Amino acid sequence: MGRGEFEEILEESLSALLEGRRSVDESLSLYPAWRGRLEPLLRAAEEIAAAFDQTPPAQTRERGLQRFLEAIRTRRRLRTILSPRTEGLSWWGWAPAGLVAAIVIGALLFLSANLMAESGRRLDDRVSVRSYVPSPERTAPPVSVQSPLERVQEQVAVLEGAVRQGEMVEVGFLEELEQASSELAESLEDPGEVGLLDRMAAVSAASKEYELLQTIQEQSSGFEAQVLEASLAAVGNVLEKLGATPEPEPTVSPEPTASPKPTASPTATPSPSPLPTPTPGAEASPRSSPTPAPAD
Amino acid sequence: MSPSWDGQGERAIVDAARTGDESALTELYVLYFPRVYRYILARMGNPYDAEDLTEEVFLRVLDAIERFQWREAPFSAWLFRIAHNAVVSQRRKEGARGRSSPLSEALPVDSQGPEVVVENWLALSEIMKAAETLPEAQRRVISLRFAAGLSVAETARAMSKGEGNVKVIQHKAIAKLREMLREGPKVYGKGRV
Repeated sequence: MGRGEFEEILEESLSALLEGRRSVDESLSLYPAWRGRLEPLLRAAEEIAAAFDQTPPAQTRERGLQRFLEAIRTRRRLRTILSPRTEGLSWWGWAPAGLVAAIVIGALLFLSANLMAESGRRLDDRVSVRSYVPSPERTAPPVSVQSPLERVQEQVAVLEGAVRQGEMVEVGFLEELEQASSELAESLEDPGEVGLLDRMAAVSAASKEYELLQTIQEQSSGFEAQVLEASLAAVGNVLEKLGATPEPEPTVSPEPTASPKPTASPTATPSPSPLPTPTPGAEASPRSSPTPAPAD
Repeated sequence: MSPSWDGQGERAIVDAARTGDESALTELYVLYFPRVYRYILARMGNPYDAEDLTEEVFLRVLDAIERFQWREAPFSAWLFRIAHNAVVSQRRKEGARGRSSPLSEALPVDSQGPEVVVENWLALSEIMKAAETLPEAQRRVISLRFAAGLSVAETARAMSKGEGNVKVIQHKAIAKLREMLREGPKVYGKGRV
């Protein structure tokens, strides 16, 4: 008898043992010729089978069954939700939902495209950006800062209005006017800084200032007269640098009552004042107020 | 240890279960739960792992049973392939995080008396210890035949081997276990040779 035959006898006896059809002794009595080889194996198999015959705890089995049933019901609910509708609806039943879905998808695609384009632009900006180097223009003071010529023009306008209205001019205003005139004179020292048109405007403003100051000076005395004298000197300096030296004021009367101050310019000759004469009651005193609001 | 109904009965129940029939699925669960539990216990050696993995196996069965086809293998062979894959997956996880508590430290609580429980678990512990020295194929044949209760034909299908090959492997495994059990200390007296 070969090895294959013993394998068959062993398997047959083993199956009978595991299935409970025969005991070990019954199998050994069936195959007495193989008893010597068969018995130790069958006894060992019986032992192994007994060791593996473990019953799962009842609560484990019950808990597992409950979870299993719950999983079955969950899947059934999902199937109920999905399957019957998909099978039962015809194409016209799907049409409204499909239309809505298409609109929503289209809107989402449109928004996505816009967002992507915007992101792309931002990315381009980031890539093309250069390090910031502050330029003199960017760090310059605000535009509201006036040039000396503009300040003079503005203050002359205020002064002219005050003289015409017969208002009083404060000493502080005159000092500011003197300073603006001095700055204008300084700026004229650089030929490249002031253009031809600005020089013409400066001549006009300075001439007007000189006349107005002379008008006020005729009615002033003491401290005010000294301030006016300094202001006249400053504007005379401007006129000198512009090549428009004021000529001495022509004599209105045989005996001049107000000659140009020697500090202004020896050759300064103010032209006759075109301004109307202040009213007799309106005393233009630099010390008195109200004050014409000087422009900033 | 074998199913209580014949092949035709099993086929009808499995076919019903494939359509999602709750009673058929429940019947399969009741029939196979102890066998899957024993198989996993024999492979893992830890009752807590066996409990959790057995539940997981049946959930996997639930997910996959619609795709089951009779021409490929008997249902039991298909089911224990899933159980085998669950064991392999669990061992891989244990390899990453360390092995769980051994069998002797994890006695299950059941309605059996404490002496019986202890004796059974000592017997299993001794078999498991001896089985650890067996080659993987022999361990798997022993687990499928003795713990899961599969026939040689089902075992062969579950392992994708020939029946003759399974018989040879089985013979060698039993002989080796017998030898080791005779050499080892006898800590229990149930059915010893």
